[in-house]
Amino acid sequence: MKRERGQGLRDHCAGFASRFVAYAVDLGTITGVFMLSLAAADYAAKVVIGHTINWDKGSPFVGVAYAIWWFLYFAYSWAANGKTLGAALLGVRVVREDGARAEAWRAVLRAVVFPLSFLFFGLGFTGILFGRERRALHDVLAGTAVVYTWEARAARLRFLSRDSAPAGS
Amino acid sequence: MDPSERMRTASRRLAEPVESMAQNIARRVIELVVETLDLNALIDQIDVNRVLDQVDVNRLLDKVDVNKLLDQVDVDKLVARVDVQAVLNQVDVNALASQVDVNALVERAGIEEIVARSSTSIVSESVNLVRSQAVGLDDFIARWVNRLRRRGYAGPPLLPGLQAEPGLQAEQ
Repeated sequence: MKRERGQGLRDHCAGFASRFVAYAVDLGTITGVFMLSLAAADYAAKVVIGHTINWDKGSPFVGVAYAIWWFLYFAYSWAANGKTLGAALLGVRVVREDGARAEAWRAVLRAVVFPLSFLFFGLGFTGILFGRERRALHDVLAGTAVVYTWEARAARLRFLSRDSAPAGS
Repeated sequence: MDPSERMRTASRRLAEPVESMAQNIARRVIELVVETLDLNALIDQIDVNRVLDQVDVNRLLDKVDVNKLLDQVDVDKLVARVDVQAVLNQVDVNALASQVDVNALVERAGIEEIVARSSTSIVSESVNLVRSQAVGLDDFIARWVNRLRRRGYAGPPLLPGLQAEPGLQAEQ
């Protein structure tokens, strides 16, 4: 796949901060929408049957519902266009490891194995810091990578203005 | 000498003094009449509007060369004589402002479009700022990690499946 001239950081592997902030935005979105849904269900129950539902945040039902919503959010977003809301905001995208668009099954697989990266105090994410292609455990398992999707001109200029170390990594 | 010729000579001699006397009498009479007349009372009796009604102003203006007239007017001198403050004091600004159709003015000036455009620009700038900060942080972290590993840092890596532009790779 030939890169076009003047793309800046486009198609370069995204770093830890961009991916972490994107995930934080997604987590906030998921949790916010979930809480709103619970409140809406509570209001609907009050209108229809006249009783309020006191959701126990620690109940298995709420936990499972949250997990399903979490999975659907990520799987659908990655399958649709490789971007969640947070990823779109931060200008990053999930692609196949060769840079092509990730298939739907790969997006679903990535969402399934995503929690594995959190195990052992997030050991699976160290690949983003130390790996050659900045891939976390779930990226390796699903055959995906995360790349910048924008030109990042300002950041690029700031990067070039620094005293860069000699290449050789 | 012919008697008729004598008469003609005598009348020629008399004509000049008589004419002079008649002129003096006429002048004196006019002076007496003018002194006697009250011109102001006379003017008061004139119906100016009636006179003006009989004047064809358009025809009169057709005869006037306005450009020539304006050339003779010293506008600077004229403006200098105008007391602008006095004129402004007579202007009822509130009444003037109430007559202004602000909505039409805003529509004509395209202010809504300008506001929408600037709002879009602000959002776009904000997103770019967040992204730039994140990319800067990415570089900062990667630089320190590579320093710990005693490796150099040449910017974010490109996926192996993507062939980098030669110029860009040399730049990195």
